[in-house]
Amino acid sequence: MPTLLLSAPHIHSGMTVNRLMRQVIIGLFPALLLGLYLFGEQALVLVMASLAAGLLTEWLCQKCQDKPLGSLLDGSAIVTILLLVMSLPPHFPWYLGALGAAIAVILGKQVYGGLGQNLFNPAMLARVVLLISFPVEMTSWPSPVPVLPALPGLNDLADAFTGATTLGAVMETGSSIIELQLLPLLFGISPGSLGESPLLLLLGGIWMSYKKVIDWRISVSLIIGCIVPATLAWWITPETILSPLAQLSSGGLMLAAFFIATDPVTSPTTPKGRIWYGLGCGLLIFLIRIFGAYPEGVAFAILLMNAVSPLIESTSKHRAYGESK
Amino acid sequence: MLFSKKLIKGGVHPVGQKQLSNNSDILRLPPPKRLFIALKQHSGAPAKPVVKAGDKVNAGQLLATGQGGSANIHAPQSGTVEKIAEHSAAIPGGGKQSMIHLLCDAQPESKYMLPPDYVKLDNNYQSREQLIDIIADAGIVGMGGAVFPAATKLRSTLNKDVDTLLINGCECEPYLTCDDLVMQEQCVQVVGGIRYLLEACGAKKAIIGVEDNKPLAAQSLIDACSEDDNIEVRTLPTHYPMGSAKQFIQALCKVEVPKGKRSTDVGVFVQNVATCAAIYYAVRFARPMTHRVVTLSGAALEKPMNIEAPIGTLISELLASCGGLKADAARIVVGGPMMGHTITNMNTPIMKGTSGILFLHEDELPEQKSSPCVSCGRCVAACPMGLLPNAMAELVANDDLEGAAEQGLSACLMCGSCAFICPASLPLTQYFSYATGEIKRQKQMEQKAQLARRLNQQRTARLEKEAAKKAAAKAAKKAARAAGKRAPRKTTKQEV
Repeated sequence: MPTLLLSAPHIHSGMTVNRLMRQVIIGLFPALLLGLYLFGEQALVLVMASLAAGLLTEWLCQKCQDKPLGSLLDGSAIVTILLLVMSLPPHFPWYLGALGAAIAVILGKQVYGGLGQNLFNPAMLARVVLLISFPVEMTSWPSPVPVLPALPGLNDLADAFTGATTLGAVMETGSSIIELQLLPLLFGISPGSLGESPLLLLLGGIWMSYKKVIDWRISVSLIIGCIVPATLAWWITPETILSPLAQLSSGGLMLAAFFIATDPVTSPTTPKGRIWYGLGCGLLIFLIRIFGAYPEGVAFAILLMNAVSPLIESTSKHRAYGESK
Repeated sequence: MLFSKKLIKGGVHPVGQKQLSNNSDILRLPPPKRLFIALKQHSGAPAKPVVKAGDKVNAGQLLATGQGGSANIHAPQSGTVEKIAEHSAAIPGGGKQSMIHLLCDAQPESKYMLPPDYVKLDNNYQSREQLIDIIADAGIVGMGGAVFPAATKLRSTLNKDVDTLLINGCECEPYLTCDDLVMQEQCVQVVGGIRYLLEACGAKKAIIGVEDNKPLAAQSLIDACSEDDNIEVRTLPTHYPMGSAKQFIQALCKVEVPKGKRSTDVGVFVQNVATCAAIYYAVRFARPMTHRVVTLSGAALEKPMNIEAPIGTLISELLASCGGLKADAARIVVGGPMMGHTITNMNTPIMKGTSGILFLHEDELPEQKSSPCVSCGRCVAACPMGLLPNAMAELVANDDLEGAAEQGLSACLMCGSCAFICPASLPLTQYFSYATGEIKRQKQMEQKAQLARRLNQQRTARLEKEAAKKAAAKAAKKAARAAGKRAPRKTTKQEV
């Protein structure tokens, strides 16, 4: 016989925070694996060192608290660290990666009180700290060299690229007339961050949307917010602005659309607010890419929108049932 | 799905679990030895008993009259009133209630006591008021969930213009199949009751809404009302909480009941299917509401099924009729799993509003441990009332009840959709029911304090007045005495 009186509901959807995080990790995995394949053991060492340092920091922080929010293996720390690492240059020094992971955990999350309390996306916060502190390391982009020469054509493609990212090249030369090939563009086989393969991130994102892990509203509106002004600008000055497809598939746009902007903690909860938030992120990414001092603006755009997320939430309340229209 | 317009806002899709109990006929129990009929069957004041210990009663005889928002209570079986005393009740939070202990006759003498002028009753009411009176006498209450006296609800339509009668056959709570089985087995009675209800509420047409996970029930009703042009059966998508009155109206009539208004204000009257069958029996056969169909289900139960049982049957006896438990019941729930409450004592009787008793196994239960809120917004998307459960829960957790009320707490249906979907397993509904209760309590305290203040003021005023009067009288006497000393007695007499 039960002896406790418990409150309704007595059934549950089965969705837990741990499961959500696990599914985000699954969604990230294809792009991460491709990154490791393209950039070799140095990238693997970076991932491992960052994971170890981040988890150790998380464990220490939780040890210091009387009532820690969340637990070590609830997946939130792993997602944060993976997102950070995937946005770093693949051959970034592993000790600096470890430092970044620790920064993400401490300054990004734990100083606010732990899981669910942070105002800014921890991975993006740490990335900006690293970018400002180690500008040289953060902007040296190795060419992808697949560990195993699996596809004969792939190596030739990879060899065609050197030192600068697509966005970086446009920024330096001020010209968008650079040779672009569709296949490497879609798979991200070009100098760039560790996990930037647009097609694989898109696949992971669509799977997560289908599984209702993330809200498609943020992803779709972010892409629209960036691509619509980018297309308009490209029509006006095609010689200095990258084509929409290149805009879509370069830099961290896909990672931002499906994995970073969709972070539940730092985005609004109302459906309408999410659309405004996504549009804002997209527009800021576009503006920073075109007018900013940095070639890519995902991290800054996300942090800026994080700051206004509570404001968006409070102004985008939807109509309750029975309230006058 | 992505582009189809949803009929109701928010909502969730819990696993139905209807197949556990909907594949066998309703079981009718032989009369139990004892019945425990609670005087307080639902919200409102307890009914006033009209029998006393030792009285012999017939089946269908009035046991207690409704007062202050409650309905009449009748004897389900013939027998002897043992006593009227406290007995454990299957109410939220447990506890005891005053109940009529009825020792049933082993061989019921008559099925139902029919009034001598019964023949006149049959279909022979002269007016809407008379029809409603018959329903009131039979002690019929809404069997869907709110358990509100049907006659009281019907009387409120007398001075309002009701256009459509909506009959709720959604049964959106998982596990429960009692309405499903009633619709299948008693479709003729349900439709008969709808015909009476159409007259009683003055509506022009009736729409029966059935969720599409009950095709057999829908088909039975379509067959049963094939002769009626003004009764229509409509299937609705299976979507919790479709059966909540406000959402049901929204789905069928595309209107929302404005905040603070009732369904009759938008020209609709909602009643549950099982209530319709009860109204049919009451009007056609002068049979009061003494029985109901209860779903017994859950993975811990040997043979889940529906039982038509007399009101007052002990849950333990119903359990025995279902073959007992086959596993440990980690939780016993009265009502549906989304909104029902738990009990720990099975030695408690069913009441008019008991739609189901669930014996849930450990595996069916939710995660008990909550994790922190990650503001994923699933509760916002799931709220059928368009509220912000995450924001309200945070305010309640910080004891800001006023803030929660401003966010629309009073509109909360306690449907449990938010807590069902919450990945952090936060007890959101518990927060809201606590806050609602606490606000009510504070209001009552405030009213009490106001009353005390007013009484005190009145008392002080009265005392002051009396004191003033006394002083005046004293002064007058003194003056009179002084005057008497000076003036001759005669003048005083003249003054008087």
